[in-house]
Amino acid sequence: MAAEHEHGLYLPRSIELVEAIEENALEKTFVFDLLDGEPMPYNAGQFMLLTVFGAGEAPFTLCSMPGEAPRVRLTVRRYPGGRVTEVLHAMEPGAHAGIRGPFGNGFPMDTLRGRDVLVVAGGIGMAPQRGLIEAILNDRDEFGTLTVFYGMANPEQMLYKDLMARWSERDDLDLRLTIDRPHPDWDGHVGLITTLFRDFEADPERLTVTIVGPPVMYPFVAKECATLGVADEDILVSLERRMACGVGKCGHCAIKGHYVCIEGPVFTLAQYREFGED
Amino acid sequence: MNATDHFIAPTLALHGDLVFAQVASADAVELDYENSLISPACYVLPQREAVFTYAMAEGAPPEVRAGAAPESHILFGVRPCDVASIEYLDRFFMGGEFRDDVYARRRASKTIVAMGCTEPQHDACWCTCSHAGPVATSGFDLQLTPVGDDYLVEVGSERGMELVELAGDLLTEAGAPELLAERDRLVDASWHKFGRQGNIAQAMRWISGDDTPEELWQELGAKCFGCGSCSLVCPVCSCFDTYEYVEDGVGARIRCWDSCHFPGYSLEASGFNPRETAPERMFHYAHHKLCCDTFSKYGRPGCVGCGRCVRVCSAQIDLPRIAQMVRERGWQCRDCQTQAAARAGAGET
Repeated sequence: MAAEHEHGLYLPRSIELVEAIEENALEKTFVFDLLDGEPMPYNAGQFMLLTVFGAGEAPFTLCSMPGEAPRVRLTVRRYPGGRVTEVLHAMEPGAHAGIRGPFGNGFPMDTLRGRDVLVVAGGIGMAPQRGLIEAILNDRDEFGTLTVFYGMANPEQMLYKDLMARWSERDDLDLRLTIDRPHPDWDGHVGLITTLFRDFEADPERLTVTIVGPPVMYPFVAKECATLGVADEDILVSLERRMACGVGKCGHCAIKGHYVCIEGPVFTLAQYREFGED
Repeated sequence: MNATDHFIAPTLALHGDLVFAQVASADAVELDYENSLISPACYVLPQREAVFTYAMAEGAPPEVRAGAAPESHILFGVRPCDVASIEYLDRFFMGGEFRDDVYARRRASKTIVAMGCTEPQHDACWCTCSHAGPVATSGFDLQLTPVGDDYLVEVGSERGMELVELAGDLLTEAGAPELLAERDRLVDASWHKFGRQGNIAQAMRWISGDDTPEELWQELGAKCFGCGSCSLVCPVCSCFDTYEYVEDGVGARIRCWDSCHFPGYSLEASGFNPRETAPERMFHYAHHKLCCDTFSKYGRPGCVGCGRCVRVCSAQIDLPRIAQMVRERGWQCRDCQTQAAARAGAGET
């Protein structure tokens, strides 16, 4: 039975920009407060649709830690000519916008409980997984080992630099960073994200891998996982698709009858191999 | 008839095209008509509609208001194929995990008076194959079917019954079953006149089982101009996009029809396009229309046999032809596999 949506399915709730944190030349993290004071509970990996009034609406995965609401955090890359992102990036604190959601399934926290977790993030793929990592850290005893592979083209692109510094201090999180090519400001690991698998040992029976990054990254990381012996059922990917509704009506995100906005955006690699197209 | 209900009926536009539009008098209503190129389903899912509006304001959050209440309409003369498409849209928009309140509100303001067919209205008609005609079996408030000089009137809902009561003396009770029997005889006799038969069920089987050769989609993709006409005239196609329209400080979120044949349909901001090529888009289109999943979710194939895509596709790769090709090539494909399996079983290499 279809649920009646209390706010109207397509009506955005008002939010106010509290802070716009410049992460790098292209990406900013926007911190918004919900103005209606109502909570917006969500799971790590769920997404919402952001309305920039006068510009349009676009889907973004929440990168705040669940429970942080009525405050939400979104990291958004500006694309030159992007009808929403250009206007969003020009916003100053105090500006108003709209939000609908949360939508989608998010990461299956119950399945992850008790397991070792390897988070593989390429570039802005860190943003949708930040909430996952924070949710695990928040409930640390419930999970096994936590390893984070984070690859970027150069050190300048790194998101959440303060957070990375704090994470690297922790002994209950194994953070491994890499950049694609040598850089004068970098004394860490250099090489594509797949090279981090060389020094990684894991019990494939206990391990779940989550992968978010540019499309080109998935097949190569999936291959490394297979070499490790991780089953496709234990590999989670979060798909990005164009969307105009978030509720399975506009059609854009459908792949062979599967709606990424409702059934996803998080799928196991096994599911994706069933119906995927790229 | 309620005076606030606008009467939408088949009528001739200025240059002679048949359209579903508001008519001022009964004289303007066409009763013997080839179906319109744009389906009357556009009254439940308009080409463009405002989902909500807002006043742009400095320093205050814009006040968001739901779009204007839809006008009440009696849609008269809706052909059974279009009745079936509206039934499909009802299930799609008002069922599933989320109920589309914008669609539901508009839909509730429409009354459907169907006009059953006793012969094909166009040589593109193939409703007999896609299980939508020649007469409707559900989805209407009233259905009229011409029988000789009279019309058989069927009541499909309480709203339909109210209309019958309003019509009063105009109608006589079909106490004798002869009229119904005569209608059924006329309809049965019309079946062989529908020449175009795609054998849609067989095509559904092949496409759902992934039993279609890649070359078929390459060939169809190479022929397709990507104009999107087939999906824009299709009364079942429901994909939409949204955009903002701002005038004099008042903004509106507009939703408008979209087509999966456009490369921009799946193009993401990053430049990545999961369905970059015409063959991929052609497969997506045909799969959504024909796969068994669509049937099990919405109770019918994603085609109602109205034949509009046949009328508009300049590459002549409309859905009946695609279904036919899937049936033939899917068969070949499955056949090849079966033969290969048989050879392997017989120890041949």
